[in-house]
Amino acid sequence: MILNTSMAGNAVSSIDDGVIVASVFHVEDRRVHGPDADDLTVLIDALEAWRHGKHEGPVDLEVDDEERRILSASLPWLTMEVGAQHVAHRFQCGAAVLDRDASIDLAAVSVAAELRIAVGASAHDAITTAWSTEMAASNVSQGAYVSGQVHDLGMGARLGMQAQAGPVWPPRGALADGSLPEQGACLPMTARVVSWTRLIAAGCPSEFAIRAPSLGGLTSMILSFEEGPSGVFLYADGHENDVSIDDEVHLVVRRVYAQDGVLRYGRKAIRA
Amino acid sequence: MVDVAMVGAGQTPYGTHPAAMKDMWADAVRACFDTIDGDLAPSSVDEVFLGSTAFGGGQLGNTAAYLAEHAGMAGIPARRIENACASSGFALRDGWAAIASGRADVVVVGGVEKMNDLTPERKRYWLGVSGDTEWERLAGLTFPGTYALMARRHMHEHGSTHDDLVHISVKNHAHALENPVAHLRKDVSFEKAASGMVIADPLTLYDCCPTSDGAACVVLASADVARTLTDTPVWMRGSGAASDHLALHDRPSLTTLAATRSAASQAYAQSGYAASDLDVVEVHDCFTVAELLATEDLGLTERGQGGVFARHGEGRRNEGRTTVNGSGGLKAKGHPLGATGAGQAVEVFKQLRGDAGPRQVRDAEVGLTHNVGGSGATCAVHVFGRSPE
Repeated sequence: MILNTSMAGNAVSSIDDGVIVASVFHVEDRRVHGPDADDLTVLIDALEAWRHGKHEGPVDLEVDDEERRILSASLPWLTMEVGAQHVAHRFQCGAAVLDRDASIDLAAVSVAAELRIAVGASAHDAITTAWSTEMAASNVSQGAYVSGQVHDLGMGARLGMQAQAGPVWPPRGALADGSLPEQGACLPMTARVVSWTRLIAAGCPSEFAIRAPSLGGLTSMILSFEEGPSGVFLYADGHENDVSIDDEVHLVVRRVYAQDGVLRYGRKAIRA
Repeated sequence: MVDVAMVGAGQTPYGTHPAAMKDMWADAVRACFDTIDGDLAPSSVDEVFLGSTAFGGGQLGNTAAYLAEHAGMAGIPARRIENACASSGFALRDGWAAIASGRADVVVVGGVEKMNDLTPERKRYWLGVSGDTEWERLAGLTFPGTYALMARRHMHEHGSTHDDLVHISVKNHAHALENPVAHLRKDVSFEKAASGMVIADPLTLYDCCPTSDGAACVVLASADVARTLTDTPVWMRGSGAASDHLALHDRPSLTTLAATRSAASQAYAQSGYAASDLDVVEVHDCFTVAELLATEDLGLTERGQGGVFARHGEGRRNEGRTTVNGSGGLKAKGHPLGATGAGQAVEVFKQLRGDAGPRQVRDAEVGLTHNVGGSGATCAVHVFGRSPE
């Protein structure tokens, strides 16, 4: 099966039985993850594409505890259930959510040539090595420290765009009258560019110091949601990032950085 | 309320210094007390208000006690005030309030920062701690990034251009040539500034201030005491301060700093002066676009016209409407974070007393300092005059 539709930075095929998603990045003919993607982010992309395709219901998927935590924060609508009719599968830099009775050879999935983004082997190796270095327990970031507890408390807002009533996002400790905010609906995953900048590697925060040289810097932008709030987001690494003010972008889950040996994920922007 | 005057002001040169933080502070205090006409010793002041981010963490706790001790003020009530780059602007406000309320007669206000004894990685750590850590920083932003976002939006909304920012950079470098304490004393041509290496698009190297070592100190006194110490006090006519959302994305607009507008409004109302009365203005140009926004937010020009103001050279010393950053500003005089607000007051003190030498602004009667913390989360504005009323 050849995936020939682009969605959220991936190649996608939507069929009656579900959806199949794969990375568009290739080192020659070998499919690889993008610079900030991994097996978990492509699984999240697949589940979001599955829902976008009007599928619903519980999903049977095999994940470890950390992945389950991130999935729950990213996809608050998702019900994970062993034995469910819909099953999530993972394959080489891809994921699918299919009807349990579907019969598709995922090992034979490929990405249409026109959707592929070619990556040099040395560039791919550099970013892979950079992530390993960043993940190592011996790597003590010189960045402004966000503790694990603070990070985890913000996961619902960071990954699921969970807002407070109003809507207010990111979350506040108290409202102007001193009262406690009430939980509101999640913000949508599309927003418009208010302003953007591209930072050279030397200008990036220390958290990104190991990877930024391989990426040639970072693109960051302020996005405005139709519902009112605004936020600041990185652009997904490795994709065409020639954005303009007022462009509409889509928010996807990607790796942001690693600290204390733990990968931290967040929403990044990509062309809608 | 008691009238308050500056009776002394001094600073170290800004730049990269081999001296330790405590020695720089002691030098600034000595330079300050040397400008006081009457007899006053550091040990006889009532209080010490010291601005510093304690960059590098060399003496992060009890910094004020440590520094007071090393400048002949051991035993005097001292405290460190931290509001990022606006630390000593707020120290100035707190020192003013202590005298205006009648609680003190003479206070030392100052700031100090030692920034250039760190590795690049540790420097970036400290430069980033005053932004919104959880959201902005983890979206890749340090201050060059946040100000770049403001610049691009201003260009989009108001048609300003990068050339307008270049005019600000060139002007401030030219002003610093006449300032012996400036960090970057070099002539920068328009062509050179316009072709600088991009740091955070659209901002280039020549849009960014340096990281400086330095210290600055002023002595404030009540009106009665001031008149015993000097015949030429510089009067603090108005003090304003405000805060805003820490993160840029939480603010309604990227092209105005609400904290500046609020602080300026308070200071103007208290002083009885308007923007059109100002002769000397020291604004917080950590990035050139910050000066562009400040000229609008302080009322030196209309909203959206900051680019035109810069393009037409309205801030040039003794040439434009009002001299903006006649010292060279943060861009060229330098930016030792916690010392910057006090250093601005030192410059206004010299200008209003006619002691600024070759960079003297003609007939300077009224001055203003504008000190911003981070990307605008805090701001202190002060208006000074040669006349007490």
